Amino acid sequence: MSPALALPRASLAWMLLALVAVIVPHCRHLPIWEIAAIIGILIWRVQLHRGLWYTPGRWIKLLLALISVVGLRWQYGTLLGLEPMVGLLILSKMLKLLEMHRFRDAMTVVLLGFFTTATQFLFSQTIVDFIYSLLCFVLLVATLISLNQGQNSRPIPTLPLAIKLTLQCIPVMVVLFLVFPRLGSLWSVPLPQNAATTGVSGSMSPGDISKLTQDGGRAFTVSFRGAVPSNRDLYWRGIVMSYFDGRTWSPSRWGSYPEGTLVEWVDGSSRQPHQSWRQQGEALSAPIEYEIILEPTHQPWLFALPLAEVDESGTGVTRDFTLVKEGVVSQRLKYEVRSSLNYTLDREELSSWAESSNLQLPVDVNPTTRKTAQEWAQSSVDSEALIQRFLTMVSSDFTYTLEPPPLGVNSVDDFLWRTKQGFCEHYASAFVFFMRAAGVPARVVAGYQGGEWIENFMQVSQSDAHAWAEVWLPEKGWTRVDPTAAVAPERVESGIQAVFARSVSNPLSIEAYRHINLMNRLRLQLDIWNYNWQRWVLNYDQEQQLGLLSSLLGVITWWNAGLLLVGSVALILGLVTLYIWLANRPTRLPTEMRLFVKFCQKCRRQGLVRRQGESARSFIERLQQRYPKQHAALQEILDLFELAAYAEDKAALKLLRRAVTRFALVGKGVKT
Amino acid sequence: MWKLLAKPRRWVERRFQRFLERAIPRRQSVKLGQKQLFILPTANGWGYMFAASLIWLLGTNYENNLALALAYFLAALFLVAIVHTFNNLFRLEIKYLQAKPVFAGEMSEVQLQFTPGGVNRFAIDAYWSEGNRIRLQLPRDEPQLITLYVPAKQRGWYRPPRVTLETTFPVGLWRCWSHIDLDVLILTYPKPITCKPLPHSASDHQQGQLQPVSGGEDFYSLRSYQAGDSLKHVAWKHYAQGRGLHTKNYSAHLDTRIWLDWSLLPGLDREARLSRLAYLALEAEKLRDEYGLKLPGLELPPNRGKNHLQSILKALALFEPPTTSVAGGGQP
Repeated sequence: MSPALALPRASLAWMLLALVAVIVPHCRHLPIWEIAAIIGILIWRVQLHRGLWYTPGRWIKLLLALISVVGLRWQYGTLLGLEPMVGLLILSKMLKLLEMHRFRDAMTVVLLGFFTTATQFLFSQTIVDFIYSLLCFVLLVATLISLNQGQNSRPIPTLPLAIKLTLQCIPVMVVLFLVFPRLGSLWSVPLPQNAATTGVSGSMSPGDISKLTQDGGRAFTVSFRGAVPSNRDLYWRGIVMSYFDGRTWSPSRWGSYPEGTLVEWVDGSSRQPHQSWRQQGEALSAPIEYEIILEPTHQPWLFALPLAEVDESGTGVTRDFTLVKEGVVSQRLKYEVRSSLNYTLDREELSSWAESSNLQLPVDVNPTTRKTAQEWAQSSVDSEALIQRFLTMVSSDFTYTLEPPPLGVNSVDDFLWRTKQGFCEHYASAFVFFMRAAGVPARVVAGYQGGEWIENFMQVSQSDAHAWAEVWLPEKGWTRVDPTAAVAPERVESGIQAVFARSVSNPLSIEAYRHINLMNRLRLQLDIWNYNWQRWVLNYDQEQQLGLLSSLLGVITWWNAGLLLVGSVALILGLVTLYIWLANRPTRLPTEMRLFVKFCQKCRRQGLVRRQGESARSFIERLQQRYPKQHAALQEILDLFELAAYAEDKAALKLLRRAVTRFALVGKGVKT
Repeated sequence: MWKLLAKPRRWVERRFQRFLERAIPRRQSVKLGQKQLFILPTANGWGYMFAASLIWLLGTNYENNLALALAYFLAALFLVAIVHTFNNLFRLEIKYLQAKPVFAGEMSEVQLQFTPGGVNRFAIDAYWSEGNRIRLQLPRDEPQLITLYVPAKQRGWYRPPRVTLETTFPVGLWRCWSHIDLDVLILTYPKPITCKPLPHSASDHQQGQLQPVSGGEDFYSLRSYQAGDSLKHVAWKHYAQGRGLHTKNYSAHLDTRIWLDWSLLPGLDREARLSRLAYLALEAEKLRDEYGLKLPGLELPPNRGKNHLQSILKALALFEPPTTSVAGGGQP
């Protein structure tokens, strides 16, 4: 290679710009000290460039690298997770910047920059992320261009060229994205670990759900294949909670389970017979089909309408007939569900272990409620009458509010007999406690209720988070009872917005501005884009690829699919070539100039060549001396040419054309 | 190991040379077309594709479509770069104008004309493998004169090896290049080697004798007038006396006239003799002496001046051309 491959000075500016752009999205999960270190290294590099500071020696670099590794190990407890690896990637890239002397080092830094952008997508995959990363590509490509333009040449317009290259790459990228064969995951990989959980969680205390509601944000989107159930049937069941410690509800923690496994996982390959308890969930109507795209929650729960069945591998059905995912949902997850809205659960009998766990109550709390419940139980005909009595009480003088007053140690007592103000979790919790105290098995269910129709899909937001109850009734099994529906029927009929127009109070969430018409329209539009982005881009998989290919090709073979890939890429490259040549086409001379060139060619045929740099006037005057008989004709051409060229006379242009066409230095009719 | 491979390597090189001679024949002017251009990924290009495939693996394993899209973007850039890099040289026209005569072993200035042919061209490297490398930037529509330097290795009409034009523009992933033979011939004088002045040759025996020299100072003899003789030297007195038109001959001492005589350098081989003669010619010119050249079968009468020096050096350069070992220049 050439000896002097010192780096062009302009390229450093591009490189620093690109690196900063690439790192910025990662700041969301990088430790503070790493961000400080990055800024420090950037300053060092700039000072190095200005010749003020020195290149670090080998030992200092080694020390810095060691400190980074130890620091990341200390921060995350491991080096093998995704976050520490990304942290290490970014730090090593920055350290490489300090010892960048040669062309190859610079190339390494640029490639690490592309890699950093790729890891950004493991944390977030919105349209905004992608558009931002395209800008990063432009900057990285600009860095490559500036690296390759050499030291002494006139500066090339780097940015326009980088943008042009990026735009030319996009069609090729789309073709490769659509057609290039896809393999599933090849081996298991570390996923984002310590991200905060979002959405309805595995435990419920007073205030949890109202807080979730106020925070806002998308929970999941649903697209129905056929009929859409009415709003009051949209109970997205997530977590069944049977254990109460006096304040917080949580799922029961069974150590062992007498009837078989607790979760029946979907087994794609060999369809094993269902666990015996699966027969306890009985579908009474034809299932409706729909597809859910769940935002990452970092929790195992999946949400679906009861009674749900899934076929996705890696998911399963629990004994409570809720859906779960192996591990946690750390990336956006798409799953197809079949739900029979008419169903019974555990109709025949409730096993003794289930009965005891659904009657469990902590001792010594809420004495008033216990006493009242036992009195009511004795005076009621059956469980259903008891339920009705409770709901009537609630509907008469209770308030549904997002900001209930605080509750004491005996939270249910405080709520039922003193404050009488609460959100859904208060009602569900009090109802279940009351039923259990009265001897009726009951449990809390957390999930979402309702959803918003946007174009052709339904979006369920965190503000739709909800909690309700299920009681076990003889002959009927587990039956849904929603005490919130008694106090605020419109919540269930038309959604949370019907009750609280401004339920979301988080100023960072666009849902907080629903009441502003323009903002609401913008929000809906963003949701539509996001939904389509998820559906067509993020969830484009092998199955959809095969669908696309078979609609294009009919029968898919390796041959015609390969031909399609190569052919379309070649076509695009051909168009790019064409574009380059068209863009660089020599500029067309103005008409009078072309006519004059034609005139000169006629003279040249007679051996009279216009000299380099000779003006039109002096050339024609020279001709006039040589061919005095042609004096008038030559003068005419000269006059017309000057008129057309300098006075922009259109008529003269026409005459000039005729004169040049007729003109002959030595012609038939003309003697010299 | 290296030695074992030397033979097949030479064979490959010879095959490649022969291929080049067919694909890019020797021409004064070459327009780079598809047949003349080669394009391959650079080392950086391979590294880049390796990184792209790692990102592809990342995307595949995480089933992350955006990481996959990034990998495809990188692949797309790799492909699109072919078109750009290739077009940076495609249809570029190079014409050999002239080369400056030099002494063997020195760098000759070779003037080339680059015609961009309506395309803006950036960062094109032009070089001879032993010469300097320059990076060109050619705005479209204007031909540009470029001077390249190449060492002239051998006396005579030295033909340098092929000149290389290459570019990695715009992103350094591909290298597009061509080796062209522009029929460059460099008049190469023998490399001057210092030596003592020659003993005065033929003139030695007639020391003190006068020889007719035009421009001499002392009157020597009369001879009949010939056309072309200066009128200043016509013997007008004789003419007036009716004795016909005569020209006065003047004379000078021979000391100032040097004969660079091949035969006065015995015991040396041909190249050594020529080198010394070249040195002496330069010295004589420096001292403003008159000097002539005597080679077997060639004699240049004494004179002085730049043109005379050049014609003497040229005669030295072209005298009995050394046998060339390899087409395109051999070892000195």
